[in-house]
Amino acid sequence: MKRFPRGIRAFSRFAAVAVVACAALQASLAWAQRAAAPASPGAISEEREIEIGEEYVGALLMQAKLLDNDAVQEYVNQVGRWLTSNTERPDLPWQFGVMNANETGAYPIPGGKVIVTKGMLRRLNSESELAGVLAHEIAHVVRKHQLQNAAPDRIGAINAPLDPAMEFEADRMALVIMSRAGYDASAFVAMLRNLQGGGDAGLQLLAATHPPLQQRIAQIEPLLAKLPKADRNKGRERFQKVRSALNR
Amino acid sequence: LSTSVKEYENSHTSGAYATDFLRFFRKKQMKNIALNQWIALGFMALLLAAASLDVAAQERSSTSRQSDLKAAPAANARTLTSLPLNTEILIIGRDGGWVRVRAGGQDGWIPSSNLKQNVTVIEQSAPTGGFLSWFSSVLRTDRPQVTARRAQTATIGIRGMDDGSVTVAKLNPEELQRLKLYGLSRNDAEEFARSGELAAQDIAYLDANGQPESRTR
Repeated sequence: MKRFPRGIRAFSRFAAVAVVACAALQASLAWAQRAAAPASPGAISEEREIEIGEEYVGALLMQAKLLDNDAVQEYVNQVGRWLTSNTERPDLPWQFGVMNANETGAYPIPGGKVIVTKGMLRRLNSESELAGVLAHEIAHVVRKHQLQNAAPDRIGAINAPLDPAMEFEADRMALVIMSRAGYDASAFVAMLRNLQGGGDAGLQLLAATHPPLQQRIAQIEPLLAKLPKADRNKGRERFQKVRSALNR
Repeated sequence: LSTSVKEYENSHTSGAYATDFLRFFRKKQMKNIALNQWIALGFMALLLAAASLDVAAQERSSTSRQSDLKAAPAANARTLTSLPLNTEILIIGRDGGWVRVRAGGQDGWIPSSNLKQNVTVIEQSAPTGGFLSWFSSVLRTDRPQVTARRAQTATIGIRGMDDGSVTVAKLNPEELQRLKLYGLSRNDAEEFARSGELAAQDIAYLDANGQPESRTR
């Protein structure tokens, strides 16, 4: 049996120490990782949440760009930002965007963004109804519903349909957020009816990812009696201005 | 001369004897040292092997069309091979609209749009059996999952807006930037509310029975 050369001997001693150190490090890292693993959504930092959201919205906006109308974008941001000021997360970097797409859709984005489609805006009859759509998505963001998936860091997980219980919760929260912000919560039910009666065109996504509209209406309608009434036509003029800009 | 010869003889014989003795002695010792070193090396190899037997979530998918496997995430990168439709691949990384995959023992990049939309995420340990797997289970901290195999289906990309189907998308940094520019401050929103006659009220969330949630804002 040949003796190892001096270099190898020195190396093997070094390597033995290094390997043991590495193994210890790996074990402790694995432990730390498990400790940091987002078993609950609270474990994801707000910074990371915003980062995930930016990644997601950047991909979403590959499908269709933002509508090229600053007045419309500003208006949706005004209504949306005011709603968020009446939630538990008023200081997220909230941003709202109207996507230039004819389908009916609205997207909550982790970390404080909400995208609605032009097609959705066209189906709405008032600022209160717009507030209803935005408040529902805001509720998902406030309660971090999308981050309660098994693998919240994966974009696909953000994209997965949410648990029906979360949709019902977001509906109930939307009513309250609207009321807090001075809107009449019954406009939310009117908006759902409106979507239901507006025909199926462009509604496939909503149907594929949400509980049936009839069920949602049945769940929340009894709650309206608990909330203050308000003028359902608040902001009528500014809403009409935006609506007519969309039809041009 | 005679003294130098004597010296030579002396030194030669004694030197030769000494060297021979040393050689003899070392040979005996060397066996032990070498054996120790072999054991140490073997132990290190075992440690390394065990440490690398980590439970990792693997993302698997397959190609949705015939696709060139590129050496880098760029259309003009060298083509390593061509993957036929339905080639099973392991996802090992992502970069923009490109996915780094392992297929047939080769690593390379394909456009994410050439991947099937359903990605299976498999969390599994590498079962080797015997001492090694016991050893790795000692090293690992998430022991209960040693033989557990969990599969779930996740998706990459973004849901299609029309029908809920999924399409894989790249990122659009310009639009993201635009979106950020539209964002308003809390003060902006308060000003809007004042001019729009929207007064804030303190109301608790309601549970499914219409009762106020204990958690208030």
